[in-house]
Amino acid sequence: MPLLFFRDRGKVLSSIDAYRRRYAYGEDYGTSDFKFGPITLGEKPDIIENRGYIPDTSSIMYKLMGAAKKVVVGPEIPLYLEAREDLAERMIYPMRNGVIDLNDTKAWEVIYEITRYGLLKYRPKENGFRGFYVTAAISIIAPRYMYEKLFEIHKRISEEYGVVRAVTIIPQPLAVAIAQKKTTCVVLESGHGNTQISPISMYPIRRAIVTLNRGGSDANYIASEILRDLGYGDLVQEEKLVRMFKETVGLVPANLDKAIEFGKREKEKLKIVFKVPGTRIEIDMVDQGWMRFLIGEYVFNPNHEIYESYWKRGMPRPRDLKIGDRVFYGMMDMAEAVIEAVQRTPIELQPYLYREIILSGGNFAWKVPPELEGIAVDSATKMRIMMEEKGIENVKVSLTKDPQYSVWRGCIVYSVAVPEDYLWNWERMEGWIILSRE
Amino acid sequence: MRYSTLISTLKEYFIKKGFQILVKEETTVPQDLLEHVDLLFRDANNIIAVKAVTDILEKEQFLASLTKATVLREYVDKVYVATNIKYKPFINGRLLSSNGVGLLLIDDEGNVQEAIPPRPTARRTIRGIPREYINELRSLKEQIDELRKRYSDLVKEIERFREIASEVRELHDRILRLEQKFKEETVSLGRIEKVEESLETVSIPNKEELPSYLRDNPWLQVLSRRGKGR
Repeated sequence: MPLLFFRDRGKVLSSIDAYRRRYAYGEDYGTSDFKFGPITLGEKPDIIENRGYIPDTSSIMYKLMGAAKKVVVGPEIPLYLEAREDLAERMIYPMRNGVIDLNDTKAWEVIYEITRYGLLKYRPKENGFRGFYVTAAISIIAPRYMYEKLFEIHKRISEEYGVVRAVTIIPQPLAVAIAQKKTTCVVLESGHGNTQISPISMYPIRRAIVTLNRGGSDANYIASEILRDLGYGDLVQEEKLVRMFKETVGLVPANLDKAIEFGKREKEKLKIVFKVPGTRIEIDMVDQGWMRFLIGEYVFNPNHEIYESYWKRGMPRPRDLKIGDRVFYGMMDMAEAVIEAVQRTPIELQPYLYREIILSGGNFAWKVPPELEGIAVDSATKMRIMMEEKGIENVKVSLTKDPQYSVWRGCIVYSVAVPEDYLWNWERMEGWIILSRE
Repeated sequence: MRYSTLISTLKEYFIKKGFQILVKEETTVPQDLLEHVDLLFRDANNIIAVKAVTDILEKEQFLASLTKATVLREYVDKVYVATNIKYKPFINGRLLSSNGVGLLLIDDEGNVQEAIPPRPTARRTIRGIPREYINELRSLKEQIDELRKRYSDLVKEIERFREIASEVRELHDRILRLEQKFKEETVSLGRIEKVEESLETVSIPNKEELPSYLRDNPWLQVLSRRGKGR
């Protein structure tokens, strides 16, 4: 069987059998999407939305489909959708905040279904297949019971279908660092509900993690308020539409005050018309284009006085939140959070961590129109500016390449490289759980 | 006023002032005293403790809270007692002032009034350190600075070696790739047929076709050593 060798200083360090080169499998349980699939997919995983629909068993569609499915996941969902009012109740997004309640049975059922969907979709037909080596990635703030539940789900699927040989779970920031080939770095993973700042040096430094109670959903709030101000208050209930509006018009300013001043002076350059796809609705920002900067700035630093008026009108203000032993800071700006996290690591390590700051997650994907260069900046530049303002120099900030796929890629590397005899240990939270010995 | 309302109002008040919330583990307050503290904040280098009192049914109860707050001053820079404004008649302001404890009064609309400012605690650490210790510390600091300098020189050296090692690795990989290519060229026809047969079901990436994230990834080496001693 062909072997893959890794070499270091001329010596063969380890070899990986051909089996794992075929059957390494990754799962990224993101807040919005579930990315999954075996190594043979190459550079990109398969993606479905991380959600499940619980059909109304009395509906005509349900009867027509003739299936006794309790939860529908993947591309089949649109076939079952009924009234729009039902959506909120029947559509379950289990990982909205990265964490699922222990007793949220519906959410765990959705996780079981999407996991099964992925593993069965790529179940190979050949005789030699004895199950995948599965590495699943979840939020670094996930409590222990989430690990236990996910292991249970894989065990159940392994018993039912024989598709899992071994399973392990790693925190998403570690997977990002692996995919980015950085062994010492700080990973900022900004999802829908929160942002995790995780220093990594070969292992995640769990005691140094800082979490912000702020994520993509907060940028959605400010985007909703802007839509209201523009006279489209009726559209703000459609979360997907608000998200698209935010992604299309939102800009990150190098300096908010200067950007607003520029926007009010050079109105033409900030003019934009957002066309709602598939409809005839067009949202024209007319001469309010300067508001575009408020969306991006809010993600990085919500402390500017301009946001006060939005909070007074009822927009939720990011609040400090305590879950278990961990404080989720609401108003701490991103640069402060990175400094806070790095300062919790050994002093010799700190300069190396500042040299590799990796931004990951959709909340950092902001465009810079060529005509606004210098006024609007990308996330990496914004972070660098903020860090320099706080006196931290020699900072290198980079955005993950293909941020959507990097966690999955890290999972594949993990599945391929970690020795099979390195078994799961709850103290170090690493290693394989072997589910099938055949 | 409910405890949770009181706490949120106080948090908002201090955060607006630019203070930072601390968790209890971040201070040096002894464990047995921590249960008498409801909130902790940092203002620059100062640590501020707040004791929230929801109900005061009699003056003795307030005196008990005050005694605990006074003890706290040994460990933090400023101490406040916070309560609803309606309990003002139960509170002996002079007693608070003389003990250096501040008073915050909160009305039902959530307005916070600093009725009595706290007196900052004198810095215990500086006051109590004898001169010989300071000299000793100075000499230690000099030694640490020297060690730091040597360490920094060493790091630079290591960095240089790393660069060389990385170049060597790159050359090594190139040789490996060439070797692999050479072997593939000379493989027999029968073997090729066998490989093609297996490719029909699952495509097996050979080294050349490995996904980009697996190529030259230092984590492969790090992870493959898991379980072989940290």
